[in-house]
Amino acid sequence: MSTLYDAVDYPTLPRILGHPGHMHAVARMFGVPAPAVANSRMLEIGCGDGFHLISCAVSVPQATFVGFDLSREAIARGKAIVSRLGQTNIRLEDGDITTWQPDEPFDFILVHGVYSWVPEFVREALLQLIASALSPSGVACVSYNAYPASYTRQMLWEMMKYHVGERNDPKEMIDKAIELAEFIQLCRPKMEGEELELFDNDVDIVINKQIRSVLYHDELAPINQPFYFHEFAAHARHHGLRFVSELEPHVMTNGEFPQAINTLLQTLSHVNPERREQYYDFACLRRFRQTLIAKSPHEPKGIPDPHAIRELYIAGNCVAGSVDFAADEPMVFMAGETAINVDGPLAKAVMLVLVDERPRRFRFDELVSFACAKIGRESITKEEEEVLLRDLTTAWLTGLVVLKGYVPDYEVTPGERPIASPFARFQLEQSSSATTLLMLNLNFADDIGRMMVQQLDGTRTLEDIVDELHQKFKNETDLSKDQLRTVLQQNLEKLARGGLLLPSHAHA
Amino acid sequence: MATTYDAIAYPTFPRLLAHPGHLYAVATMVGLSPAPPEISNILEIGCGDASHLIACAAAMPEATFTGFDLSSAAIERGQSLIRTAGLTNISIEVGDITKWNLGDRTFDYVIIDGIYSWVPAFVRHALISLVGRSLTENGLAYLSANMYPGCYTRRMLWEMMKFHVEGIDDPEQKIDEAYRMADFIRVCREKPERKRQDPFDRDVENVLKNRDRSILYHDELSPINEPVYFHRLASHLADHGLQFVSEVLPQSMNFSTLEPAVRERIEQFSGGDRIKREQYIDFATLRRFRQMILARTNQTPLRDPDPQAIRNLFLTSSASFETIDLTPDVPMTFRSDDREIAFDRTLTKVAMILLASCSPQRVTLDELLDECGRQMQRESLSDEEVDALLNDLVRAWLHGIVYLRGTQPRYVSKLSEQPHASALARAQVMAGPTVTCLLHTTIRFEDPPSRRLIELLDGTRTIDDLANEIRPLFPDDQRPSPDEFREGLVRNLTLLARSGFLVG
Repeated sequence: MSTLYDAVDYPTLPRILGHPGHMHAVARMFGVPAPAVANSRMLEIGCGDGFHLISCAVSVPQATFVGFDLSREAIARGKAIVSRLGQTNIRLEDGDITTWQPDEPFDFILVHGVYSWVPEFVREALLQLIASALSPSGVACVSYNAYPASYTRQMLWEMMKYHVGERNDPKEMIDKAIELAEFIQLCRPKMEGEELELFDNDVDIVINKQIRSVLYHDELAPINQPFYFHEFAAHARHHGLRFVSELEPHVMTNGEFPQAINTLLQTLSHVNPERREQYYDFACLRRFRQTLIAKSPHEPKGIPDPHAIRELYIAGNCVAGSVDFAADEPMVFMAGETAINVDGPLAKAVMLVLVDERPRRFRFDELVSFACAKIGRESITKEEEEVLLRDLTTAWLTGLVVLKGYVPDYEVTPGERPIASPFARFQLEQSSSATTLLMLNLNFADDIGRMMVQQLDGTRTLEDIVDELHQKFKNETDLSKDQLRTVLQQNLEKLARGGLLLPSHAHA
Repeated sequence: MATTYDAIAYPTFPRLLAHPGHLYAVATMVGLSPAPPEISNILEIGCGDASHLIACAAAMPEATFTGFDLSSAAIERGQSLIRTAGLTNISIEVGDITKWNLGDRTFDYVIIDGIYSWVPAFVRHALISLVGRSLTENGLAYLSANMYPGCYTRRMLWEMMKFHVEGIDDPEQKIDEAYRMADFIRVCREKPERKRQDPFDRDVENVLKNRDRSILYHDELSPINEPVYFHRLASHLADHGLQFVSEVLPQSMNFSTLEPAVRERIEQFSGGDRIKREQYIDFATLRRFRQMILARTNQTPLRDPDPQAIRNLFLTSSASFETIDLTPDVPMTFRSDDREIAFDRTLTKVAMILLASCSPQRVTLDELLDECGRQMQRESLSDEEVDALLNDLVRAWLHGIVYLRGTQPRYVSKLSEQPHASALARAQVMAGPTVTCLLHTTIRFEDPPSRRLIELLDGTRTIDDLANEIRPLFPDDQRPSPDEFREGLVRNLTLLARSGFLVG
């Protein structure tokens, strides 16, 4: 069957949050006994060209990945890449949500960008499929546009669609949509108090930032039905699936709200986790959700369990706001606009280790021993451990620390003839960004870095690459060979820490 | 049949913009020839307690008024006021839009306010079908509706409040909880980095500060509140042989206030199609509400108002100005609320000053020109001068600085020997504090002596009689001396007379 996606490609980007290792960690924190990632089975419904799933398959070689999509062209593109890479743990298929049948249950199911964008009967079939395909302790993640704040987006979508009218040539449609957005920007009052922050941003994004094909498939989608969280939760419940958490827990907690609001929120929502979740959306005017659901019969607690951290991996996602480690005062750690104060030598040491070693993933005990070394201690007490687990949970809920259920096998110290992830090398053939085994998307601003990665195929030493690139770029760069070697060496080490290199035992 | 309006009454009040005289004026300006309101047949669908219709009926004794509403409690309140005021040109009844028996009647004016967006789809369809069947050839309808795209921001708040009050049966508790929810949102929006309020914040604040409890219950918490895009509404109207003529508020159809670049694009996008043009104007202004004048599709309204049509209407203005400078080519600014306009022609400036000084009285163009001539000590004004003035007056009208009306109610603007308030006003003070003037505005009389005074204004008592009867009603410690009291009384009655409160 031909779909709209055959006419205009939708660029799919690997997303760290859609990795089974991330879903596993969030599920565990909220009491769902999600299976171990290494040997798990993951399904992506509506996988497009499968780029995300392929990058997951490369990073978890022992797990099985299945993806299907209605767009034959996207699947054909994905299949070609899979066979080029020789990736054997992934299967991409043409498939329709209303008819597709799972062979075996899946531990992780990802459905990104589907729920709000399909007709009601497909939405219904989708949840039915999740309910039938999910293993008893598995988790599924469904993204959708959320009310209340999608109403401000809806204004723009509908105005653009009116302006597009009956046209059906994608290029013309996209041009008309941008024309309308420019018109609206021209009309928007410059007077104080008339700005609608979210709306004005949306208009600006359409004009200046939006990738044309994303505009076509999102803003101009014939179906684009946002939902209130409570509507989605009720729909899931109807299919025996219950709310676990949001895929980004720190988006869920509104750490930035003052205590007074949180208290008010508890009263208004009668302390029912699902209701409270809805009031959070009211409070922060949410517009998008990626909700984790599971079959687990237990009612959600809505509160994460700090002890689950012991079974997970911890990595830093922040920077230190002050450097005075020894001072007898709290240290500030920041991620984006969020900041927390960390007090006490042990907690400070833990956070500093995470900052310094980022993006390295630690087991809890390993992290503690690194921190102890920093402050010259042998071990920590049971009480200290409890406090630390709670502090890490708080840091996780504010987005300063990430928790993962899996560490891919990757080479931290580049060997003699390093091999970069074959998928990353493939990506760099057509774009300037590449996904590492840790699912980080790296951007390469210049050709030298990009070409270095493409040369990392296990047949060349760094010196070989320095020779080749120096020859190639001698007319375009002032770098001496020694300088180039230093730059490449530094870059390679950084890329290795980011998980770009396959483990040395993969050299065969 | 019991409605939610029986549990919590909706406060209805006379609305100048929905008055047939106003509809007549706007339609006349865009080239239509509606029936003179004073001798017309008028229907209000969903009239509530008919406050609006009754006030129209009292000011236009030769017109005939019909109204119906689903709420029997509201209709009973209205009927009782009609009886007390002794009005014989109005009849209201309990009726359902989907079943109401029109018979072979037709109406020159049909008023539908606050219904379209607040009823289920099948009622909405019955409603427009009824308008289509009941309007005379040159008839006009008034229709209000919540509009997209602007209502999407309002809908956020409505739905949050409705989610919060779901399952609460008691209306009063429902209202309390809705305020509580709005307050929660207000607190959530108060972040130190947000210095400014945006339209959403103002919606929240409006609910908290200005929303009457019963209006909150019937509007924001209404189980049905379905805004509509203009182009959809227009095609719904077209299905029943109806078309959009104009907004009732001249300043909201004032295309010229938009930036030239915006206007140019709207013209380009709409390619001469009126409906598209209106739709793009709604996009440009993120419109959230419309109050429209409708007519049959056989009528052809002009795109731009015709200045000569002012000759058939009455002018009034509540403009204020700071300094008078009649020197030609020196601009003089006139303001009304947050709107303003500047004129530099001497004749226009004189005309504006005259209109402002006799507010709220309505004058014809000829009366205005005569007075201008006298003030400027001119025997006559040339056609060119008058045409230029008319163009300026149209601009002032489109800016909401000058108002045009289609009727001149009969009232005395100077205090007579034996002042006489309308029968309606005297009936109204017996029921509550709100009283309607013949100019269709309302005045509130909160204290018992004032209300007693209105009752006594029956044309049989002199000022002295009134003073003698009312003064003793004041408590000892607040009672002014007889001279002071009489002076104050004359001052207040003179003001009331100017507002169109007295018929004799």
